[in-house]
Amino acid sequence: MNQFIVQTLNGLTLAGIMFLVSSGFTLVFGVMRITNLAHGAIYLLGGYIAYSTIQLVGNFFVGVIVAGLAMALLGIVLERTLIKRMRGQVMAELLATLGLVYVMNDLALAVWGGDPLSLRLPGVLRESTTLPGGIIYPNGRMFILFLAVVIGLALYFLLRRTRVGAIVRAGVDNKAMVSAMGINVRLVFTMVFALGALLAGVGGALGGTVLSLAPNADAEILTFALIVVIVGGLGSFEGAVLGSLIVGLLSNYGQAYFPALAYFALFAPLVLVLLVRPQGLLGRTAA
Amino acid sequence: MAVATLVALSLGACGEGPGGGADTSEPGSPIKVAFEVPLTGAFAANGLNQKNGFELGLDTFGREVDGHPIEVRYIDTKGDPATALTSARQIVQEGVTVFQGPLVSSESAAVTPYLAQQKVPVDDLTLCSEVQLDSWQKNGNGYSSGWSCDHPALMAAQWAYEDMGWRNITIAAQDFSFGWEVAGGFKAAFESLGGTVDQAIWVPLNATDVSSYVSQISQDTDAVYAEMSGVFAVRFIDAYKSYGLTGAIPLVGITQLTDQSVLPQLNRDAALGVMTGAQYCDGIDTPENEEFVAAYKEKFDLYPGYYSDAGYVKAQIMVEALKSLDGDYSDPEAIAEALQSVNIEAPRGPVEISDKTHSPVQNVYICEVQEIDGDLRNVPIKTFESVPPEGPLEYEEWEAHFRHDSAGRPE
Repeated sequence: MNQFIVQTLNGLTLAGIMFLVSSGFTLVFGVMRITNLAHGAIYLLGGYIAYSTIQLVGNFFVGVIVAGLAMALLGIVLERTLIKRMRGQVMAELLATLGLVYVMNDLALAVWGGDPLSLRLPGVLRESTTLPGGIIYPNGRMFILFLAVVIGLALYFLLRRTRVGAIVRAGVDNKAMVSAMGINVRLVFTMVFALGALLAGVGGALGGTVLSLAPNADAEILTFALIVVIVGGLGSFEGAVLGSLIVGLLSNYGQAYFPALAYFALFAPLVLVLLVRPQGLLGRTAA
Repeated sequence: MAVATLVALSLGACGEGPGGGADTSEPGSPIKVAFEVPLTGAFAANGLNQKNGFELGLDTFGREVDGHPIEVRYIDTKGDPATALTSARQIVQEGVTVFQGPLVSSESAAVTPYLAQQKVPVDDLTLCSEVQLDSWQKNGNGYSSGWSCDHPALMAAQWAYEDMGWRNITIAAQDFSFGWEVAGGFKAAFESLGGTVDQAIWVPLNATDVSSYVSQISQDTDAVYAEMSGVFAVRFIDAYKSYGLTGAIPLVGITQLTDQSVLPQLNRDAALGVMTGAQYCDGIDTPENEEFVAAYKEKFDLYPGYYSDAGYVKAQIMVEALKSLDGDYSDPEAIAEALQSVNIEAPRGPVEISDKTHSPVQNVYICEVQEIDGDLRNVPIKTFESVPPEGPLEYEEWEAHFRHDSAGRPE
């Protein structure tokens, strides 16, 4: 039983990190119809920047914030200089973001090297707590879960309760109409792309405490993000929440209880969803 | 200074010595060395450490033998077997005197048969597969100067049973041929002594979160033996601490678990006290190693890890062997023979190559992570001297399990 609780908590913290990454991915797709394959690389770069910032100033939280802001800035630059030139050409956008993956990864390899890095949590977060029933569980993971929930709630509030959120949601449903209403869709695109990158950067900083930063970590996380949004529904925020929970928990139970079938446990629901609801659990069919 | 003298001496020897057999021994013609090593991709860090070690070794032992300059070409394999094989073909066609083998076991499996067919003398990093063992036993062109994969594991098992008195052990290993070979060696030796392996936890290479595996370790095992390297070593040791196992259940592992390529990344409290069965530790207390560590630290501002020592030893063996050939590098068989007849005092201790397995007979250490002058170091707490590749097992028994484990998980 204890083992089951530990594995559930592990699955939830993994789901938290997946949510941070996939919510940004799904937002960008929902609003801009861009499958940003560089999202994983932005995650990894965010993690590396957090690492260097923490080395420099010695404060974990400053590292997380700097990583998020730096990646948001990178998002703005990429959107303004690269993505906007190929708007609407699906193949060009896909290839351009794929090309970015190689550029960013090689730059990261040149700057941070190939040795695996991991971020250190400060003080009490590095300790463990004994939960009722004698379960020893690391504080850091509970903290990550907590932070993911807080960020998730903030995003929910932003999307559901503010004017900006209303514009973004309207953009997902009918871009032409939003434009016709006199709203600056260009600006919305840039802001959404920046928000997506910010979430990925923060995800990288938090993920780096549990998952280690190394070449290829970006491909791992991108795979998870893709599964999450396909299961949850491309473009749907709630879908990202639900998808993260399903994928995080299944991936963890799979590894713990049927290690030989771990990947089957992860991909089987994906196939089922694609067969029964190709638009994803909470996705809407294209109008 | 010593290098200059050596070079001067060997130059002299060349002038007086008899002329060699073939065109390769024309005065001043280069000795062509090809070094396949991953310099980009997931194994880049390990590859770079090996290259650094090799360069330092050439600085130390000489870049010229009998008037022939040693010309080294590094080829980036990216850790990919197909690239390794394609480049090997090209290298051989262009002519090569000594081939320094790849790093990843899948790369070795790809190039070994081709190099044997072409009779190219090859110094491979590790002996990890049946393919290598068969090929080298049959053709004699290749050997490993680093280690046979299960060598330290065999001695770690003996130490765990005899010195520590542990009877029940949990093994955690990565689920691929290297992991099978290491875990299989440990299990075979530990069980032959009378111990029991409680549980074997296999971690897939694409596992994202190692914690789910660490949290499966049962609280009532005597100790854990871990085969983890690179990112996995970092994640494993961190998770071991955060799930409350550090200090409660002793953790022993392979060299790479706390090698200097990962040690600086580890959480200090989590790493202190972790032990390894190792063919090299940076804290070995011999003049050869102290000199090597000091030179390495000065040149690269890092402590050398196992891969750095491996590169250095490759250079040491190669230069030593080339010197014994009196300027004649035309016969690949003689070169392969010379390479495998060298006896050296390496940073890791005395190294010689076994005739049976074509892998080193060398010391195996049990090392512990300790803090020395504020740095985390691996310090030997026990030394097994000049151990043959089969360790405490009978040779036939060892070879049978070695062949079996390179193809699948040990039973």
